[in-house]
Amino acid sequence: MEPIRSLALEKTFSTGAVLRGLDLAVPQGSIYGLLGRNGCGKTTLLNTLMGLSLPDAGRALVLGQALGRGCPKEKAAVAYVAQGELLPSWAPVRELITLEAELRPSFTADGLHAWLDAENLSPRRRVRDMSAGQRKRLELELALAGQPRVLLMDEPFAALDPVSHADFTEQLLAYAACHQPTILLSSHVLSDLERLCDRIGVLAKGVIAYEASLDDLKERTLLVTARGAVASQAPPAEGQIASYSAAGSTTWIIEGLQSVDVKRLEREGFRVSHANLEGLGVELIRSLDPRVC
Amino acid sequence: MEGLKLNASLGVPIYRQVMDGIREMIAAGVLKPGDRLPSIRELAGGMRINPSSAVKAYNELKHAGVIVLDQGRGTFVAERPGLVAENREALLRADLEALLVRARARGFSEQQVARALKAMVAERKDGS
Repeated sequence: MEPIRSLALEKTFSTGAVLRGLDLAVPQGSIYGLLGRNGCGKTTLLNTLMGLSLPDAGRALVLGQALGRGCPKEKAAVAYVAQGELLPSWAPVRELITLEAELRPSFTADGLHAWLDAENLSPRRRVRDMSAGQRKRLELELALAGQPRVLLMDEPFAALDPVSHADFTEQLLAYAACHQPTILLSSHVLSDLERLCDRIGVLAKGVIAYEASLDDLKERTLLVTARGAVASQAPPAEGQIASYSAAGSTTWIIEGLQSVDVKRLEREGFRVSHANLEGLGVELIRSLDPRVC
Repeated sequence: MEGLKLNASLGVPIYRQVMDGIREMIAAGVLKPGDRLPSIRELAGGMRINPSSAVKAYNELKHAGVIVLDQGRGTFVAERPGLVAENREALLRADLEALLVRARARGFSEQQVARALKAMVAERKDGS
């Protein structure tokens, strides 16, 4: 079974249903980017996978286990960098290192110490005396030092400055190349996901409404645009994923077009262009999760 | 890897950009036969790309005979003669494909591009 798996997952809060039968399977060694609008349930999904929130129905499994109670062996191999700041503010860095080292058998602090040296931070420094960016980086460094087999991250890079961001990304990807961990991260920064991920999924209306490998997305997905008024709103070819209208033109996001189809569409006056995640992501999310303002 | 330029937000898969970039560096003589290439770890970390993109690029280049994997020693630019000619053609193809993508994005059809290219070549002939 995939290291990260959810089956028909359901979760309802007093404000309404958030997860509505969500199925997710992140294959071994994959770096999976979770996209979706604020409040669409990304954090709920991650919390449920970590066993911090119990599902109303369905199953959330990490390394084959529901991580609620017990599972110390699995938990030692899973790291979660949650949203916000969770490290105790009074703690000196070295105590956090000692704690993590005791909890995680394969803990290796080399990268962490290299970062502390580069930042000129003493291990005696307390969490509260660090900048917000440093605190987040410390959380990420601690997670990676545990050499996790599964790593979940919720909006992990928002607080980092550009240099810290680039340095940590480099470290994360080098770790991924060596150890093939399975990584699930949520982010609104499409350019980040474009570099890091091999797969992306869009969470909308309580399910994974769209999922694709990034290579497929770039090789097989095209934007077909009709300028001016179109006679009908029907998609001009099969394989439609989504469509949207703006400024008098309509665009269809279409998968698996053959070159003969492209030629036909161009003859018929449509504009056909390749898609990247940055260009596509916004419209994809908008059309899968329309909200009336 | 110095000299390898990637644009993650281009509508071209990153593994293809890595392949094209390495081919280009070989054709330009920046990389020479027998030169050692970065490991998957160095490439993924250094270029900040998903490791599977790096693996896929190396596998395809190995398949095409552009690079060789020496078990335990690393990955190297192949020694085979004729490689450069092969690369030049691949590069031309890649350039033309990129041109078509850009032209399409600007609303030109492939026929229009072909006609424009033909006209340009004819013009040059007349001029010289």
